[in-house]
Amino acid sequence: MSQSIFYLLGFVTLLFALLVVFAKNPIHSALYMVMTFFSITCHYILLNAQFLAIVNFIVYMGAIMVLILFAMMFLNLGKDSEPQKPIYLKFAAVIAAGLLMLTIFAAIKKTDGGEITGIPVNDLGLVKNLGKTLFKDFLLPFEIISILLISAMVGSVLLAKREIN
Amino acid sequence: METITQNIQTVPLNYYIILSSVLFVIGVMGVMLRRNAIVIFMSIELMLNAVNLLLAAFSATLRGKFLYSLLWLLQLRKLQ
Repeated sequence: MSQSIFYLLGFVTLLFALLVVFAKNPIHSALYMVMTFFSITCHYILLNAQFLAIVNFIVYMGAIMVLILFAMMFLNLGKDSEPQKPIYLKFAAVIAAGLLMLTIFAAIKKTDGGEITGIPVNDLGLVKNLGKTLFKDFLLPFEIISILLISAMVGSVLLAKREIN
Repeated sequence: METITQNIQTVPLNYYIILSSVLFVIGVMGVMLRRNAIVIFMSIELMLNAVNLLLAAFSATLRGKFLYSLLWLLQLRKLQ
């Protein structure tokens, strides 16, 4: 049952990822990207990581993809007249990616640790348990992350103001 | 939700490793294949998502959530 769900979701993910790469129009590839993110969200739900799924849904599909589409439409980058690379370069890219995949697969096959057959899913992905873990065990890294985020935000505001002057 | 939790135990971890490595390779191929800057950016996003999926699959067995939050911090900074 869940194996078939996994196969279906994996097939959809890989199909839309390939369409992202091979679509001619950049706006089309952005829309395929939304579908890829959605199927990855479904993978997270299958992995019992609800918080991850919700955050992925909101941030990636909501924020980042809308940002990319806006940028494309404002800057008029979504034209069909994208300069194409020559055909031998495309062949070289595909062959190089195939070689990389071959290398990764050989490395996976060589490792002995990959024999875990079933995943004993824990409840860490649920929102309640994740919050408990984050505020008990990982409190100091969490605060450091928040300081880093605030510094990034202040830096971006400073940069934006300097452009006005 | 209980049934999903019990069902997922039949999916081996190897499948997730293979799926995310194929996703990663597709992202690499997109970076090499396309010339539009935004499409290259989206391919890099694809690679990051593949790594995130792998970390989530590992964290179902290990305590890998913290690694995920590190990766996600990178995403947030890029968004800003």
